[in-house]
Amino acid sequence: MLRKLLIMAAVCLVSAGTAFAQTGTITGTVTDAKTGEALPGANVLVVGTSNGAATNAQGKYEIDNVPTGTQTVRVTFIGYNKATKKVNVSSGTVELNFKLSSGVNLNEVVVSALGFKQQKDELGTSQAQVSGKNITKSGETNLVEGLSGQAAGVNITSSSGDPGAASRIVIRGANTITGNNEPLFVIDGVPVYNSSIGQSVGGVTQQSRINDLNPEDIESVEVLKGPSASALWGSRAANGVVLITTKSGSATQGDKVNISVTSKYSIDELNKTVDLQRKYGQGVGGSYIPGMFLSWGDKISARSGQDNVVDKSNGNAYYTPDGTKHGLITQKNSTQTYDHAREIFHNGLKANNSVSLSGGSEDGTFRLSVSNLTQNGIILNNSDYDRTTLHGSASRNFNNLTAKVNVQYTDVSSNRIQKGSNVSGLLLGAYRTPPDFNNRPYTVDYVAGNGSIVPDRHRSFRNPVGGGVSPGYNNPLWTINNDKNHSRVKRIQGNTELSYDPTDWLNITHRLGIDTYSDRRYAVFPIYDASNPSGALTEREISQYQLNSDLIAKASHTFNENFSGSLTLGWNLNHRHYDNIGANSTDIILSSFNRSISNYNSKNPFQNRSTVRTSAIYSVVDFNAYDMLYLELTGRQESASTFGPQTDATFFYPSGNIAFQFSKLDIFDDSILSFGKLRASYGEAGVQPPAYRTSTPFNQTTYASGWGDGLNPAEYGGGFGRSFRAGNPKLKVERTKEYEIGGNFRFFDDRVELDLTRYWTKTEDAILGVDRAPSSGFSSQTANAASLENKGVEATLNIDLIRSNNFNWKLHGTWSKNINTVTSLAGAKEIGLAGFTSATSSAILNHQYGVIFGNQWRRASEFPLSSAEKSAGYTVGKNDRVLDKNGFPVAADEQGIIGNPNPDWRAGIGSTINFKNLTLDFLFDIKQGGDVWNGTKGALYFFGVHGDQTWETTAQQDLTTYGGGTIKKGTTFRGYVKDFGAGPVAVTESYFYAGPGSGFTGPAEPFVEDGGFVRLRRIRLDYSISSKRFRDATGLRSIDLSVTGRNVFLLTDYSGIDPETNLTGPSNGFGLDYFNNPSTRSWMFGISINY
Amino acid sequence: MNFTKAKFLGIVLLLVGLVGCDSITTSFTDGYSENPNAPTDAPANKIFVAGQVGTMTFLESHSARKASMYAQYFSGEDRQYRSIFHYNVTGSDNDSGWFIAYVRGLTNLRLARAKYKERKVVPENQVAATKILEAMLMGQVTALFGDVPFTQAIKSDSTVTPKYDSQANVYKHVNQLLDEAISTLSNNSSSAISEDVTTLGGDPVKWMKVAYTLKARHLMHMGKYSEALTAAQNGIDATDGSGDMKMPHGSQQGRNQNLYYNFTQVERTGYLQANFSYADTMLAMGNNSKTDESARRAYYYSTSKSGDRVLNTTDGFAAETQAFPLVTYLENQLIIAEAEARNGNNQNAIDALNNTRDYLDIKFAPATDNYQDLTLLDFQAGGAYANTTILQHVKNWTYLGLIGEIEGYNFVRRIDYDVDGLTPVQGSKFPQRFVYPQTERNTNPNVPDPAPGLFDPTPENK
Repeated sequence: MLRKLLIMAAVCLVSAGTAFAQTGTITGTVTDAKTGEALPGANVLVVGTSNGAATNAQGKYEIDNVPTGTQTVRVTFIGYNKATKKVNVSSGTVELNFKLSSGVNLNEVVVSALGFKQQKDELGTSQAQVSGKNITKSGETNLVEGLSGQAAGVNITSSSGDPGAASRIVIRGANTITGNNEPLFVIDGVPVYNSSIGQSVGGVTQQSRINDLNPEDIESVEVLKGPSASALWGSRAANGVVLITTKSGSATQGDKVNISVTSKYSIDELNKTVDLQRKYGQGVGGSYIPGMFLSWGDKISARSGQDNVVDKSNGNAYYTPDGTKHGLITQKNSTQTYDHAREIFHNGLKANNSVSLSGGSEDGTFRLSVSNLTQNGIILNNSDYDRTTLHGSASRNFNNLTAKVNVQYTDVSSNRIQKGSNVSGLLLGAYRTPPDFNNRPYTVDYVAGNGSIVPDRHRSFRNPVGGGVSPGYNNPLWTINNDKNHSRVKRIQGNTELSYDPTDWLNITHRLGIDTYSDRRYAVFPIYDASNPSGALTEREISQYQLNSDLIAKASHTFNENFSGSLTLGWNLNHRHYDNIGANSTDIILSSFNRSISNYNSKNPFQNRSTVRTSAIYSVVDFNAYDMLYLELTGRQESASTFGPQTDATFFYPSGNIAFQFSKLDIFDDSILSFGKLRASYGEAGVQPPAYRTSTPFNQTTYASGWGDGLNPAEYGGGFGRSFRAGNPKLKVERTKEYEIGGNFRFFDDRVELDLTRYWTKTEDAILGVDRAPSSGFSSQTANAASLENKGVEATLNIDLIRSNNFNWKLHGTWSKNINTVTSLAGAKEIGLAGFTSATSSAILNHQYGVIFGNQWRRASEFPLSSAEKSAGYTVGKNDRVLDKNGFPVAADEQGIIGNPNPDWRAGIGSTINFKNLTLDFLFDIKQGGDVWNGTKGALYFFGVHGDQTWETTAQQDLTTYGGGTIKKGTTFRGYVKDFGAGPVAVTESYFYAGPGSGFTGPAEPFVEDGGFVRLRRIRLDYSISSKRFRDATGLRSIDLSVTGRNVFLLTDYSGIDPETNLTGPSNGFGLDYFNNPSTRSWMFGISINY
Repeated sequence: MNFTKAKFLGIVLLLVGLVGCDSITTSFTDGYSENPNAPTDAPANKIFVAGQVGTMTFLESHSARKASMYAQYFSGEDRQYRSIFHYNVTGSDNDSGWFIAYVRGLTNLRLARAKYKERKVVPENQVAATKILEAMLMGQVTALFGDVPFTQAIKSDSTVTPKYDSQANVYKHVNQLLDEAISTLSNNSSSAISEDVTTLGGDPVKWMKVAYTLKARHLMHMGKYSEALTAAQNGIDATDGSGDMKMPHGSQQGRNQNLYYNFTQVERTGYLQANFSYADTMLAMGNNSKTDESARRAYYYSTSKSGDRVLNTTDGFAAETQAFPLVTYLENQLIIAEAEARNGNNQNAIDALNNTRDYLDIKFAPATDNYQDLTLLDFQAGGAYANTTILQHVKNWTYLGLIGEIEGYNFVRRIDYDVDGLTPVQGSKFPQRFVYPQTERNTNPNVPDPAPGLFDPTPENK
């Protein structure tokens, strides 16, 4: 490499020495095409000669001794497009003027993987940039969500509308099976945590720790989409890297300090709810049955409307908090119904206030900011989020030394409500409640059979007089007022940076970063809670600590005007520590005093910690030829503590990329193609195994059956048994390799920009828990066992439709498509990623990652009828479905793939229209395809409460029902007539609670729905008052006013709460909806006063 | 710029040098691979406790409940339990039971035994105890599943896919273990078994008698009634139940509570009840001139506030701290009664039955004589059991003697469900086994193919 470089340099030097006899002079002015202002310092060169000059303060230049004849003259100036013109030079003076155009895209500066500034046009990889302004504009208080729809290939799925809820971010596609598929987050060159600990199908929606950052403190976000861009981050970079640059101060005039005060208030509303029926009451078989879990009861409108018949005898009576006696309703006459989908919600409120001070001079800058976000969620109570952040950055420049410090403190306090598959979950109890059951009061004093009064019982539709200790499912009003889930996070993250230039070609930088937080959580389930009738408390403290050091030396050299290069050498040390300590306690003694572990009879303490260390040396070689060709080669050699004794714990990750700015070749006409670049890259990155998987531990753990009941050897004198998971001393790194090609093309004076990327990613030796035959003594072993591939296309288009002083109109769009294939699973048929046995988001060989695997209809082509079945009256109906002897479809015994949550493609379309001080901005987010399992609907179909289930039909002929009953001609029934292929049958309640018609009793397949959507993610109007008159009169720089609509429009066929939801939060599995807490839309009003 | 070729080369060489030298990076990462949360080894006694708890968890949790549903001691009435009760089979339903048996139970018992044997002075009685427990565990595993891995099981160093031994061979092996243990214990009857988690308190003589009863149990499974009788005559002999091997329980939720209690009261309320329990019905109809079953019935069953028949979780079989029966005097005497009845020794059979009646009196109603002694006359006209044969009565009686235990399901299958009045929950066939678990089918090619279904008898029951 080096030798070639030197040879090329030599050739160039020699060729420059040619002389000509006849010469002339070229002179002229270089001005800005738009403003006409002179451009001093522009470089003007006669192509093919060493003749050149720079423009003076008036923008004038003069080049003497130019050979006569036709010459090409090229002008280059930082911040502007280069321009070339041909001119005929004679022996005199010829005038040649240039007007250079500048565009917004021009010479954009981006941040490289190592945190240094770099020209975007010189990059050989695709890198998406989202400005901090665009993130705050979104109206999202959470950074990840603020990136939605703004960068091609960056896929974000929110988990729920709970305040501070985590979002799933996956770039391009999944690269690993059971490991983390989220990118590495790096703030100001230092890796930080984005943990989301404790996600499950039940419980509460957790936060993502990256959302501890105040979006107002972010200058820009760069997304390195895959290993070809992120290889320098080694074994943490397989899923890409998100580089966040925080704001710092800028030089101000004199002693001026810039002050900004920003206030935003927003109203959050329930975005979409599930349709529930209000036509039929509690019960079964068309009759009212108190306490019944089904809503297949009588028709409510057919009731008399008189007083209910109530039994107030002992054992059936209760007192409400106001002292009135009530009893069991034995005959329902009331026609009143309740809106169980909405009664637990109200409009949420958010207040976001921040103040920042900044300023500086050439010697140094500073910025300080403080912000507070207070949010009350849409759930009536105990759903809130309060985040206070302090951010400070300062830098000081000395002669050849720059010192910088950045520090951020965050304090988050949040209450959360149980969701999902959880008898204490909010919507599970709410949606299942029969429409005619009043959930108020939710706490009653029960009159027992012997006449004694039991205070404060939990009343619910399955426990209508509070007679039982358990409500069956929690009354949602009880849940939001009694169950507590609180989290308090205190976090400090920051770094110091010293940059030293001993000579003009060498820079040495040292960066030391720290990120540490503690998350103190408690969860209280008071006595009479459905999941913990005896009361329960979990207290825990989760803490993580990360220390990172980078020592980087960068040497640059310019060989001549056409060739230059640099060499960077770095040494990285990273130390991470995780600690989770706490106790679960159950069976409370004194029921009102529920936050003391010692007040519980059963206590189950837990403790878990891990330390992972990584160390690496890396190097980058950059080479630039003719300001057109940019080559970069990187290498990282890394060791980590997570590997076993039988493997070499040191791995090497190479990458290389090349960018060719072909439009600088003289054959291209600037007037059409103002800029063109082709790029190609390759990179490798890895994934480390989880800590401590190389040896087999012995532990003292509860030996539980699949149903939760079990025994712990600790209670029998103490016993340590061998783990079910075999250690694997041969574990090695999982490797992701990526090829990427692409181009950036700008037309018509940069008014139109098109960026295209095509990539291929391959992961080999993916680390996952491989199932072992339990009879061998182990049921699982962590191994390098799987492989998968991603390939896709990304496109970005920016159009400056109108460019003028007063009126500007920009359009921008992104489009991406990714196809993922699981290519090997070590012989396993299916690996579940998240979900339920009836519907699991899974990895399955030769299918896309995350496909929904679950119970399906039986189809004759796959599971043919046996002769015994044929003689028992089974037939094959429409769509190849097997029908039972009564003509109803049956479920297959074996599970199959019933859906694919991966979208066909995703797009974002936005526009900014700017007229004087008024700016209108909107962004549409589009997802085509991508299934969602609507488990909520499947369950509600069982209970008879779903809004679809108001069918009323009069039989035109005798009809068979599921199970073999008959509905006589002329009878009106709740249900509908359908022909599955063996003649018309009556689909009635038995089809849903006993037959295959619901998600509980039948296949999950019919509840998989298309989750495609078009969403107006934001629409925003900004008005800025900053005229000179205003500034002079007030002394302020500006006042900015804004109105933002967030998530205000959603077009989707999906019938659940939101197609963009995920039961298990930012987990690998996705596309699952099962009584998730709903999402929100907001209207936000903001004012910012800038001094 | 004074950036010379030499400098450039120097830097490149430095770079190459660093890359070539692992220790630059490994010196920082070495020494952090040890797991601070769990040790990588444990002493024999601690592993022995784990092995016992694993074994008892298998015998008392889902497998026992499922066996009890198939035997119609209890009924599955909600969700998946309703489905199991109605003979709907999924392989994955047996995953956790199989896992507990092999990974939690057998693995730790064998590891403990190996570690005991490594010692300079081998604690022989400890070794014997691991053998008895292994026999108890694997005897039930083979009874439920038929052919199962045994000789190659728990040998992950040499084979990750153990072969399946025939059921007859597994019985042969476990009884051999019992014989070895009996021989050891009879020679060391004065040294206690330490770390005994059961109600036997480490008494080697009691353990030896348990081993005899277990041997008798397995011989009965194989239809070897005379040999079983011989073994049982050396089996548990304390009428007051003090020789019964039981798993003791406490009130730590999810940690040492009775598992029937934990399941029905804490984990899955409503899943397992007794509205369709045949044993409950049979006990209700079981009173006659010599027998009052009300106390026994009340011990196992009660009526909930909502009127459902449920398990007695207050002060009976499924109460929070109630010890769970593993091997009992009652079972031993029932074996004797059946073997004698099958051999035509009716008086001996009646003597054994009367022993069980004494046992039940002591257990359920010590103050009253609910179970008066029977005579041959009771099986003749005018007697308490006039309408049945002695053998048939022994069958009915044994059925009622094993409520809630896996052994009850083994028993009804062995006698082709020949209990008076017992009919399938649905259809015309009774369940005959547990089907092989899905996890094992997915990972071990040695699983018998085609895999037998729920209604296919195990080899010894064919």
